[in-house]
Amino acid sequence: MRTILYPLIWILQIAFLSLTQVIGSYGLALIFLSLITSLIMAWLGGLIKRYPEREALVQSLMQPKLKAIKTDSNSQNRHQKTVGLYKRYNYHPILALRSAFPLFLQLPFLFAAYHMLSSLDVLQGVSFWLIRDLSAPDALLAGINLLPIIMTVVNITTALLTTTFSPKDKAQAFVIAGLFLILLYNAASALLVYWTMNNIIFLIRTMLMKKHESITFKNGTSGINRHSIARLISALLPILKQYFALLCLFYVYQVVALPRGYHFPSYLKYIPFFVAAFGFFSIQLYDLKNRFESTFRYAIAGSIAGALLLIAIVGMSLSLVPGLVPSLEHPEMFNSMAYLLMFSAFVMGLLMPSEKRVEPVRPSLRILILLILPMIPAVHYARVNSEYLMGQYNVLFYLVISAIAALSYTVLCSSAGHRRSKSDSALKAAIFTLLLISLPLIRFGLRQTSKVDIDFWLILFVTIIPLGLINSRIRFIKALQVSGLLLLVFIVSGFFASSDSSSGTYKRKVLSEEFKQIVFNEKPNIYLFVYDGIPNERVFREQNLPFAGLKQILDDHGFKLYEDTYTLGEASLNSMGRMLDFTDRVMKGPEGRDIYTGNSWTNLILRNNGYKSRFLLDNYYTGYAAITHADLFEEMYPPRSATATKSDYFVVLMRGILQGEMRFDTKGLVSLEDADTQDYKLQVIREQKESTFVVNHYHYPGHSQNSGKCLPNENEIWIGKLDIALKQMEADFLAIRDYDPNSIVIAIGDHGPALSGDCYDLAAWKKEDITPDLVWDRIGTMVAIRWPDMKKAVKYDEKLVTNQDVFPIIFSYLADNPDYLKYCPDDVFWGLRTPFRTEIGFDKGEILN
Amino acid sequence: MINIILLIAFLLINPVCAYAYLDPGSGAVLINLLIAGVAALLFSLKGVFLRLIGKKSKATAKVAKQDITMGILSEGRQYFATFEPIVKALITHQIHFYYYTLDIEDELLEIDSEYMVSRFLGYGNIGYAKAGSLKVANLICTTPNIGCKGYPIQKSPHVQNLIHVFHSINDLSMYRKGSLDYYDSVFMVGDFQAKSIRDLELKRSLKEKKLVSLGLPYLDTYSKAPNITEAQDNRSKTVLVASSWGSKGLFANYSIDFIRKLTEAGFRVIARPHPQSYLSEKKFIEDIERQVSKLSNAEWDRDISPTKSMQRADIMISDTSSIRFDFAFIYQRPVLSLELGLDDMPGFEREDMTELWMDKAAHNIGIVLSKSDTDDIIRYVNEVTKEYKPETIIAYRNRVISNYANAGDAIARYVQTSVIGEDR
Repeated sequence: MRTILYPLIWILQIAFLSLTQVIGSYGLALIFLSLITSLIMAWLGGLIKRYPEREALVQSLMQPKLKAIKTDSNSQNRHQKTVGLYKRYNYHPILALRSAFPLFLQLPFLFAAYHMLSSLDVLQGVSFWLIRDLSAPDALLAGINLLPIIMTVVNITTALLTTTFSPKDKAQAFVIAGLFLILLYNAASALLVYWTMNNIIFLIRTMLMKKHESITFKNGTSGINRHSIARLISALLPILKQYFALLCLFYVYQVVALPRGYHFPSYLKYIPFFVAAFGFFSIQLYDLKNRFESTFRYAIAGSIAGALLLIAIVGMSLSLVPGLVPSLEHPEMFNSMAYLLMFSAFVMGLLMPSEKRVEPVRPSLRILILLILPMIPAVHYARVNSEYLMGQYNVLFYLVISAIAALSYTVLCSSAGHRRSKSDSALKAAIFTLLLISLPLIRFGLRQTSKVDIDFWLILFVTIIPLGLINSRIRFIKALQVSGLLLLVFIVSGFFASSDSSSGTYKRKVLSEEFKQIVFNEKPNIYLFVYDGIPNERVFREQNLPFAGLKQILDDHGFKLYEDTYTLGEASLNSMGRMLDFTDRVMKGPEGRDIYTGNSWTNLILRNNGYKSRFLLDNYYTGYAAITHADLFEEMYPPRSATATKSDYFVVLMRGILQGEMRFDTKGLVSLEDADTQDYKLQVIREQKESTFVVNHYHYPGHSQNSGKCLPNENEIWIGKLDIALKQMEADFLAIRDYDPNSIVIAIGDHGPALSGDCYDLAAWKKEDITPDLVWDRIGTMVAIRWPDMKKAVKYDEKLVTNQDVFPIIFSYLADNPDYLKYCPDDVFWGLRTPFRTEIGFDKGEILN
Repeated sequence: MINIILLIAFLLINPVCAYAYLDPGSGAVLINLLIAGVAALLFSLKGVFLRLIGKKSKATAKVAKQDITMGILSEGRQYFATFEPIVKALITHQIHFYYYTLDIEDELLEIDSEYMVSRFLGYGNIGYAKAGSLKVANLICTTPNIGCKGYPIQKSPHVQNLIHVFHSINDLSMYRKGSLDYYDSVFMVGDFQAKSIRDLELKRSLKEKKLVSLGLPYLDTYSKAPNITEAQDNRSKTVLVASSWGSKGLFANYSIDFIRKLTEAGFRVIARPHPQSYLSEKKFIEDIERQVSKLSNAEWDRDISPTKSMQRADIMISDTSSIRFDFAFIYQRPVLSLELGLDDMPGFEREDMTELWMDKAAHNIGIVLSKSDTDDIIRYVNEVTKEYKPETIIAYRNRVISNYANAGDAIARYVQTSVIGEDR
């Protein structure tokens, strides 16, 4: 693609850089570039506009006849007649692509702009107005990227204003807008500025064209047709009511998961909750007014609505007057009003009688869609998080999700659905549940947290509104068929795919007689501090990374830094697993977790010698083993508890979903920050307990972003993270110096930073192209040990080459016995295997054939 | 479609493999390509499948058995009035035929009949190329100059009998040179056209065409329009000024002074250009429109169909346009013909013609005025409106036009007995 578009990329780049020189601002140059390319696209569009116009014309001419053909019950006749009609108009379905010509026209410019702006180093760190860095996502709205949202709103508005669009075209435009949102969400701000400007210019053109359009009425006068706007609003209101009702449910599910009370503490939650409830209530009230009949039920409904509205207005007004009601705070006011409005809207819906509607599908199909659609993400979760779902929790997991779907359906039917069919409510409830359960997936994909819900608002809007515009039996059945197929695919793939996160229960290790013979003469505290991704000095040198700061800290605190050390596992879990089992055997992630959480030879040998184990490891490194292996350690921090899963499964499930990971041990809506763990680590050091084995895995500096493509500023990002790691390292070592100077401190990296090549696993690289420096970058690790007695250590550490040599050497040191050095594994690394490449062998800097 | 998007979205999002590198923008193309491509593929496969199992609908089976040797080629909806009577008559007489058009909005495409196989040939040069390769033995067409060098539509080598049907009451004088040179037959409006056709054949050593007087089809349609007039008492007379387009038009040859005089004299004037003027001389005609609109008692008629204006008018002033005869023959009202001095019309058939039917015929439906006569236009208008006799016009019409108001049926019967009958 880049090769084909190279001329256009080159032209755009020249134009952009020239404009920047003239204007003096990269941001403004982007806007001007956007203006110029919009003009070019408009001109080109003028040349090709006849093709979509022809498509629209022929569709309008054939439409009445196609409609008549559809009434024929015989499918063969229908096909023959359709063929005949197409022949008559010299038409073939492939010509439908003509309507997309304007889009195809834009794509080369978008692709070229993307490639041009991605590879332009000059934009790194350049700010424009409120945007801090044009080469990165904007993160303007409390961490949310605002520009993609603006772009989506502009696109949707353009679709709504385009008069030649049928409801089907509008729905398609909504979906395309949603897809662009997902695909461009994490793109560089520069691209978003450019592309959003393009869309704004197009919107302005559409508005100007619309202004000049007029409809001639029968009496010959002309003007804007207000009736069509009213009709559009009237069609949208019932759908919007359902939308707000579902959003209210979304917040109810969240509030249930709060650790205390039922009030959101953060304005990022209670304000949107209030808005959703107010929207639901307002439209319900509007419906009530329109359907008013002088019956008792309506009288009650109207009275309740009126009274509640009055209370809401008075209460809100009072809370906003300073000093008048000093004890009332906004969070409680907003939360309370939201509940009031939501429940009153619900009650109003119950009191309004439903209209009798013809149901497009029978009840069994409705139930099927409610069950099947939400199961798609559920099955996917179950496959990748199977160690959490053991025993009856497996069944409970699915039951709870079905219950959420059923509850959503009930709410829609009873309070918000009286103008829509039950089938429509079933489909919307199923999609809502699917999106809710998929939220961790979506947020992980968009690198989002659960603090702000605007992503869910947008995704639900883009999904529900088009469904409301086109609602038919055929669409319902198609949704059922496709979702059934997806579910089947996920279930079948679970049987055949080898999953890294398959649970595997691993056999509990039992110390052999030989291992029981390992007896220590001294038992200082042992601290194993893993600084994720920190490499050895060679890698620092080869990747042009600053080593001086690290060297200084290690020297200042008396660490012995071993040269050219590396690990036998290229990822955190298999590296640490091999280290704690001092082995080079093949190991996958789940086994790594099992070992890291205490089922390791190291831990058992130490405990056999009277050590107490204290693991400061987060969920990624332990999984459910943090609960099942509780007998293998004295402490796990952050603390885990299995009791929550038994008594309040639904609450825990909601917390897990809304926090973005399937943790069945959570107690709060927001998980403990890493900073809390690091503070606790220092506290543990200060406790000065004896014979303790403390393990902590710190996330910094970490490694590349693992996308399979290096960012232009990959090294700079990593150096920034290294600074954070060095600060923590300094704090750790100072605490050790002050409180536990006689301990053994092991400071290591678990793997390399992977800043070269493709910044990941070199998947597309041939074996012969992989050089030693690339492998060093991935497995070269820092190993630095602070020995209480350096002279003693020298007797045993001469042959320390890999991470996996560390503990046999420590055992020999503690027992003052070189025999245990025999447990050091071979120094040959085998790994970096891909589906298209066998393993790479590496031995002390040499690639093996 | 939403489900397809969900499928794509779910396949792209996977927490285990979170390093998806996506090419942005490709999703929208995927949607369109996917939908259009899959739809087209499924549609085509369905047809193949049905053909394989050998089932056809009764309608297509029946038509396939017929050897259709009759066809009509229309340039577009502007000739709707010419072809509609013929099409309806052919259907009534159960004659299978093809209807080809170069206009997708041709209303005749909407007719569903087991006897009629309609086809839109395509836009621009594609349509012309297909028109030049039609596979039908007999083809009725109203377009002159088919087959001439440089003309976009060529005569198909498969057409053995290219038949011309007229869309106006006139001899060949207002056609461009070579108008009927490649035609094999002519359905004449009346016998008066035969002389000019034969003269040209002689002059150019062309093969003799088969000439048959069958009438003017569009009169079938217009003659059925209600013949209403506005109330007679105390109302001013309405004059319809109908111009041809281009150099043949009275607007191009006369100023609007005579129109001003008419309005000042109390006449209501409807000025109507030829629809072709809006395509060929837009700026000029809009300028004329502006001038006319400033006059009191004057209005401008933009309708493609002249029917309404003709219904309201008491008298017509025109040039060499055949609309004069439409007006006179349908509404039996007089016409003032303005001379244009078009003796020199290079490139038109009249260059090779010795006498022009129009010149004589104009005197049978009203009077002919020269430029100088327009100074006294009011007098002439008053005289003609007092003195015209509808019976005279009707008698003249019956002499000139064959099968008045029934040309379509006559053509269909002729085709049935003499054209297709001969083929059989």
